Amino acid sequence: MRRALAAIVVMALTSVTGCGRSRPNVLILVMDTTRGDRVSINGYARPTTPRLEEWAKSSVTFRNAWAPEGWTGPTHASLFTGLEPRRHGFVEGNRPFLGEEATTLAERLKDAGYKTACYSNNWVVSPEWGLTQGCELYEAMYKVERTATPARETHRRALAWAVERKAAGEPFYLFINDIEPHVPYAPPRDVAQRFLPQGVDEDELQAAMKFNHPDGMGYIFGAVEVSDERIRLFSDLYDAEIAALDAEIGSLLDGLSAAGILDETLVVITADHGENLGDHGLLDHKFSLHRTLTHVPLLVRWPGDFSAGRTVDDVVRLEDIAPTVLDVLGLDRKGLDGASLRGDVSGRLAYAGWGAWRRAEEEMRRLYPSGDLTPLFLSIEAVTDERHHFMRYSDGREELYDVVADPAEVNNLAASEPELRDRMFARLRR
Amino acid sequence: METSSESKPRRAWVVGLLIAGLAVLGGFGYWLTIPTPPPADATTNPSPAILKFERDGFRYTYHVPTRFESLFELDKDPHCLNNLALEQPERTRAMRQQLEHDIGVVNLQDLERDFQEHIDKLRALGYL
Repeated sequence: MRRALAAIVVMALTSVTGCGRSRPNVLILVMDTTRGDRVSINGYARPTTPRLEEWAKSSVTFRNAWAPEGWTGPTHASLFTGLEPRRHGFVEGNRPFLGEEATTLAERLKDAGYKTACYSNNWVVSPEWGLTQGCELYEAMYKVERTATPARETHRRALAWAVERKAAGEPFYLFINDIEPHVPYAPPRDVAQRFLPQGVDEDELQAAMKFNHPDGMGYIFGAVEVSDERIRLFSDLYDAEIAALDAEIGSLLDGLSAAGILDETLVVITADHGENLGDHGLLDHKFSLHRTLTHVPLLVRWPGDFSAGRTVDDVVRLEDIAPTVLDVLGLDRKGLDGASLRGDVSGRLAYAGWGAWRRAEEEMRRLYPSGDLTPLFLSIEAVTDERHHFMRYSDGREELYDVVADPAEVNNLAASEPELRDRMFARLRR
Repeated sequence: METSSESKPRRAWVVGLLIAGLAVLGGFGYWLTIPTPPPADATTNPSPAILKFERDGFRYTYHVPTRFESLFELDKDPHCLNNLALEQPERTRAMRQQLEHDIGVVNLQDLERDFQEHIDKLRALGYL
């Protein structure tokens, strides 16, 4: 109440004097597990993100954005710090959390006088993994009873917090992790019907909606059989999850707009990684750095700098988001691996790494004693430019794709294009 | 002359009002700086799920949910990017035992009971 009164007085004074232009708020929203090629803002044929398409008209859409890892922990750490995993250290085999030595965007903005909050639907985006450093308010939304659209309650609370900050005249940093596209693929029934084939078998559908991480790992180890029909259902349900989340994001942006907050807020909408849906013989998001996992959506909205419906096809990466925020706010961004997305972004490379997942060995041996657990012990390095994507596994296998001509990455050029292979190999972070 | 004698009290009024206005603004500014209590669910960092112990220029860390331990040489590696736990098992074990002693547990895995919900959920999701 006191803060609200103070805010009214300050706003009155600044409007009279004409000075004191407020600092932009920051909203970063992660659509957990959302593939870059499955959002219609990037040209996907199915209408998975119609609301984002509307907002994209007043934003910049980066259609070639890449994540530096294949799972939640390291990618969020890179998003928050602007550092590659090799420099923030949240890497399998080094330490499975973000250390207190790292400085997060929330910490930087808190030091700059911002109010900071994190609403997380993912158990890994939590204090237990060091990822909430700098967040004055942390809401573990994953502990709230899960509905078909957890984003709805998350956004309701986040919007209320933002409106309070607006009333108090406090600039804010708001981070939201939405979980819908992550397994289990269980979208609201009405949304699912828009993507599922006619006459789908109800038992088969129910089984598909219960599929979870360990099942996906069992499939990769050859210990769990999954029919092609069921994988097609995964794909349809996954699209429906993205569409359900898109609607909720649209409502959140509507709410911010109605509250007079949106045009005062730098909005970043992206994903931490993608998902394999039978691609490359894989399910889930492990043991791979294929484009299905590392290509993510990225939309940035800020009147003036990131507006007018522009699209950018140059390579950019999650590490660029923190420096972009700091650049817009006029704060120091020295020493970060990422670079601001303001201005020319051409000629950049994106790097990725996958650390051997040895720590899951005990549990996987218990679950799948007959499975081939080889993938648990492999690490992968990758680099991509605007045209080619190169991956090298620790067992010596290599994959090289022309992602423009072959976006599904089915035609491996590593053996047939030795000069290109050598050039990309030399670009790896070694 | 009449005009001049009338302007003095008017000027005094203006100065008085300015002083009063500045005082009000100053008090208002001070009032704004009084810290308000943090929200009830504010998070402390670092999390108790991440333990650390430092001795002789080394840092030992233990992550309760994953049972993962690391060892870093702080002078050479202040950002903790090069885990030496496998290279220096004796030092790692000694520092783990010291940490267990300091926090009063027989085994660091005993701490998992404080994070059981978190661990069970992550295991079900295939993260552990």
